[in-house]
Amino acid sequence: MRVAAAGVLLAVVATGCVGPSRTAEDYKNKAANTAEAVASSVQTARFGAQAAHDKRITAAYLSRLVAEAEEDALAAQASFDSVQPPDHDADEVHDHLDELLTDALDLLRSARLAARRGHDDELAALTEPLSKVGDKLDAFEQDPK
Amino acid sequence: VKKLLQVTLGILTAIGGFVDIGDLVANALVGARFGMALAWVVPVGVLGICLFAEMSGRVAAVSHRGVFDLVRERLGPRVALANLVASAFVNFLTMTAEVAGVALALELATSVNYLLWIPLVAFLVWVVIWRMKFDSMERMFGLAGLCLIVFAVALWKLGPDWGHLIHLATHPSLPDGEGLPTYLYYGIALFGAAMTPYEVFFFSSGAVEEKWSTEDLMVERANVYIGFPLGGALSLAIMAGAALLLFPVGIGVDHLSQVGLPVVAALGKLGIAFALVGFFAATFGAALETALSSGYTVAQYFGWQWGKFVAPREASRFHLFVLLSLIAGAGVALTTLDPIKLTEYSIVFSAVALPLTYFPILVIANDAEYMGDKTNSRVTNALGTAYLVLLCLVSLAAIPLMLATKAGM
Repeated sequence: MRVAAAGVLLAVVATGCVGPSRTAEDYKNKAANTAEAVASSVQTARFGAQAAHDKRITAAYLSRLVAEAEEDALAAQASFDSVQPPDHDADEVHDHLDELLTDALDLLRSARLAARRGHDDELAALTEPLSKVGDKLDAFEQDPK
Repeated sequence: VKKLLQVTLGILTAIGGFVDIGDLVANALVGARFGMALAWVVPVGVLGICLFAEMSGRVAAVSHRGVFDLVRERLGPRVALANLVASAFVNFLTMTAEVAGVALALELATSVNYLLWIPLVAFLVWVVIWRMKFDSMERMFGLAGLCLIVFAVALWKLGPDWGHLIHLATHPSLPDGEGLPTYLYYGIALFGAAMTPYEVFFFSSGAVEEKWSTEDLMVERANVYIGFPLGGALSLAIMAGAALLLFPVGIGVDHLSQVGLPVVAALGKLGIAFALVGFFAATFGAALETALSSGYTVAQYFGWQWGKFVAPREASRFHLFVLLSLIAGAGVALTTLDPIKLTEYSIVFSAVALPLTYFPILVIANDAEYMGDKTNSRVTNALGTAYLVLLCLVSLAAIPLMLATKAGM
């Protein structure tokens, strides 16, 4: 019984860990995964902004949708920042992604505030910028450098 | 009319049990990440749950006793204890996830943080169990849960190319960037969500609560063969909506709010209202079922008086255990543990516990001492044995795949 309980605990703990990066390749993979996660948040917010523009979503639902998208993006950024770049090339990957993440998080913050305040027009205006930064993150995910 | 109403037990178990927080999350998540490539798992899960729910309902209708009561008597206290511990652990995780799911649905409707809803939800679940009659409970949440049909309506409104959708479901292939271990891990999660053990405990104990006898076997089969496939069809609609809308733009499903996006796109605010009522009813119904199941399993194992068919004072230990389980579940949910991650873990651990749950049912359903001439047919036994092999494989693979894929990351 104790062995089974320890196994369950180990499984849960082990799956929640962020591993270190020993090689530039591994670091790139982690960067690509981070870009993918943040792109998902950006697309979610873009979807919400479009729905707000079309008057197809309730205020409470929209507010949670966008706030959760921002929380996810922040968590992905924090997780990525905890990984040490192993070499100079990895530094460049980090700097490039950091720039994209900063843009994405700025937009997500603006989207959250607009949704919380019920400013649907402001939110709708963010649809295109969110779309652009989403495309950049997608491109980075395909070729992280 | 009475027999028609009894079919609602199957519908409640299908919607509040088959489509619960685990199915909502797993189907949307899989659709968003793998498109329709894992759709084949749903009918496999539906057939499995139909098979074993029918067996357990028949056992209850013939013997008038709960499954755990018989498992202990037939297989002895040690085997039954292993079964009980595994089932109780998975049931507790599932109940906690369902309580959090109700709170998440309320958060989406009100914007009030889900943590503030959890104590109230746990209290309401307890009040309904304490005060409401079993048949009223099943009818109310069964019918409200039908609001989830909005996902099927949304799918139809999105106007997919049905032929292409069916082709994708019947010719599964790995999407770019996904590995086989991750594909298998989510297949197991989906299977675990479809065959969650509590559905069987609730179904069989519900049969005793409703005083089913051999004369009700036709109704029992109608419940299983109408209710569960309906739940499976809704699961596929949720998956297909996510595959159509979220998969192409790379939106992953990490929250209940994302599960409803296909409804937002297709049906707007009215659709959201139906989806939220459906989320609430399905998760609340499942919270009732899992909370009751926690009491059913323990009380039946220890031989305590159980059930809502007797006055609470006559089944005081059963009700006390249900209450303590709810308090503990609410306590765990209040730790701010991510409810969606908790749901994912609960369905994977369900998969691990499946053989322990379903093997004893197969044994008892074949025992003429309990079943008389109502033992399994050859076809049922052949299918049951094939499923047990599958359940063992799934159980053995679940934890290694969880570790290898970092829980599907």
